[in-house]
Amino acid sequence: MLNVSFLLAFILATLLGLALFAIGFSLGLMMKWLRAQELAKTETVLDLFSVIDHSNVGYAIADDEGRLIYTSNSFLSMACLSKENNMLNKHWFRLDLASDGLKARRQAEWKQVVRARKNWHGILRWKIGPRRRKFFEATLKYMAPNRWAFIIQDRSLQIESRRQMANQEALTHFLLNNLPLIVTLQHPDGRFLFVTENFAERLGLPISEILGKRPAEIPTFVVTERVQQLFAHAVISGQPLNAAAIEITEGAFKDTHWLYYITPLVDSEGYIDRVLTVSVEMTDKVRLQQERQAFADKLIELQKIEAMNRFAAGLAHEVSNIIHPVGVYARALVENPDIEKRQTYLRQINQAILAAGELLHKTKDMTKPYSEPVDNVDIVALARDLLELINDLNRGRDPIRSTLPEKSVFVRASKTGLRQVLLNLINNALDATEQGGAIYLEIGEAEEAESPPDEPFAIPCPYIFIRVRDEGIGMDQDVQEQIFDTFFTTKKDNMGTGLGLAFVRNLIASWDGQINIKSELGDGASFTVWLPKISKALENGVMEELDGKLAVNRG
Amino acid sequence: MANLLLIEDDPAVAESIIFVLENNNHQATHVSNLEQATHSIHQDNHFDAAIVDVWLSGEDGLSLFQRNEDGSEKTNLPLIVISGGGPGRTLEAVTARADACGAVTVLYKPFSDEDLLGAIAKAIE
Repeated sequence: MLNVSFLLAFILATLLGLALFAIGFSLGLMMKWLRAQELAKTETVLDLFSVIDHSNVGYAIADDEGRLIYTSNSFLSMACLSKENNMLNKHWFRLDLASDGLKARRQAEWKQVVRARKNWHGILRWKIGPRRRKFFEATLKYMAPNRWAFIIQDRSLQIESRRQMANQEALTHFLLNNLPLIVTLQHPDGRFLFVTENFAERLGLPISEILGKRPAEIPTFVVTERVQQLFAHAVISGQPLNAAAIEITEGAFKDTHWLYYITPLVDSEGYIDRVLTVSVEMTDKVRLQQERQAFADKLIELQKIEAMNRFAAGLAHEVSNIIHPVGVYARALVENPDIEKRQTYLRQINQAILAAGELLHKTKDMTKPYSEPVDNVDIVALARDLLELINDLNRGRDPIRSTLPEKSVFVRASKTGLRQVLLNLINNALDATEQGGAIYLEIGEAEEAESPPDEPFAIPCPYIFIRVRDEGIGMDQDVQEQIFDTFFTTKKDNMGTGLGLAFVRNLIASWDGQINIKSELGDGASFTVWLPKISKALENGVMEELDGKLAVNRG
Repeated sequence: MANLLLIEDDPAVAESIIFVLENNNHQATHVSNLEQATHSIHQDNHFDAAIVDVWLSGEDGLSLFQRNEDGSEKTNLPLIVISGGGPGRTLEAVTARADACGAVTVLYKPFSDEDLLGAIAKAIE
């Protein structure tokens, strides 16, 4: 039994020995494997470092004083430090071209970080030349006693571009707030999303109290119904509105004039999500225009008075010539009632009275233009009708050559008056061309460029001109100066009354227009009538269209 | 009795003036424009005075009596100016021009026979 026990013990011991050996062997193997793994890992890390060296990350190791102990190639190249001049043992914060003050501040900060033994992360400004610098995102980390890891990443591009954007933004902001413009960005429902400072200033409110509110919710901002309609129209139609003339009569913007531009902006889906409005202040211009208009009105008034004076003086001349003989014969008859040729003198007196009556009858028309109502008259249609009539009546003579606009052109005048003006001018031209020469009628629109030759600002631009030109006998300067005077005539044998052109001038003056003449003796004459053009009912048109659309929308 | 040149374009006015002149034993020659007037003055130098209307259908009656640029007179006929006024021919304007021409007097139509005869008497003194 003992032998069996011994044998068992021997077997067990052998097994245990084997097992221990196996364990030891495997442990050795494992260690070997682990060592190999570690080696591989170290190589990977080294690879990683070489990769980093070629990236925009630089690293260095410094001691507590900030002296460099190790620098990666990337660190040197990023910081623009040469490899040749050994940078080791130098204080990193003194290696760029920063000012001494900044270098001292860096050193102070470094010491603080080291003393507190905490990590540091921030932006490092690195001066590499006059007006040249880099921005590094820098990380400072404690590794071991007297060993600090210093990692830098180049952020120059991002920071410079952000700085440029900020500059751009500041410039845009500056421009927007210093131009005589008010710019707003509004939600289609009217809520302000952006406004320029000048808008807030004029309202006397901080911008924060304007943003998010609708115009109606800002008490000092009183917009007319028209502004609201124009805005609504732009939102509904999606069409931009250009340069609508706006007058604000109440609130903070009382008595100001603006040109209003509305541009609806669409999102990526094509829906209007914002509305850009630009308002250009025109108050000064409008004021100036109003003053000029008042001045022009005064001039026209003076012209009317002058025309009246001339008329009165002409009438006085005619009347005095008529009544002088009456006095002579009447006195003779009083002195000697039985005078020889008594009947003749009485007849002379009677003739003078009849002549005075006829004169008064003719001159009655002169006061008409001041009372005759004016209307919108299509001068082109009127001229066409008249030309047809005149050419019919003057068969056998050359027809009048006309240059007329294709479309209707409207002026403020009395229709019969305008007919008389044209007829008068054409009749004069017909008389002047009895011996030959063509007659031209031209009607056109003149903009700023062409002003009436006299008192160019008396008629507000734009205006319509009506020109009757003939190649007839013409007239000298003296005649031209008197031609619009009452009772002046060059027509022999009582053919003319001398009232025609005076009448024409008075009529035209009563429509705030002018007439002038260009002529030379023997070389034809050209009469030009200038009448203010009716301002296009464009705005009315826009409003009507808008009303229509709003109605459709409401419907 | 005076021998007078009447320059007047209005036939009725001229006729009535001649009526007055002849009734008062004056002799008158009537012309109605400057051309005829110049012609008459050159033909007959025996006029004692001229009666001239300022406005002769666009012609200036006084131009015949204005001094030349050297100050010499175009004609030394005594001048009586008659005027019915008209645009630019106010009382003041006509009187000033008549004075410059050395006119004896200015008569505004309608004037009395006495005024005319008085002016003639003054002119032929």
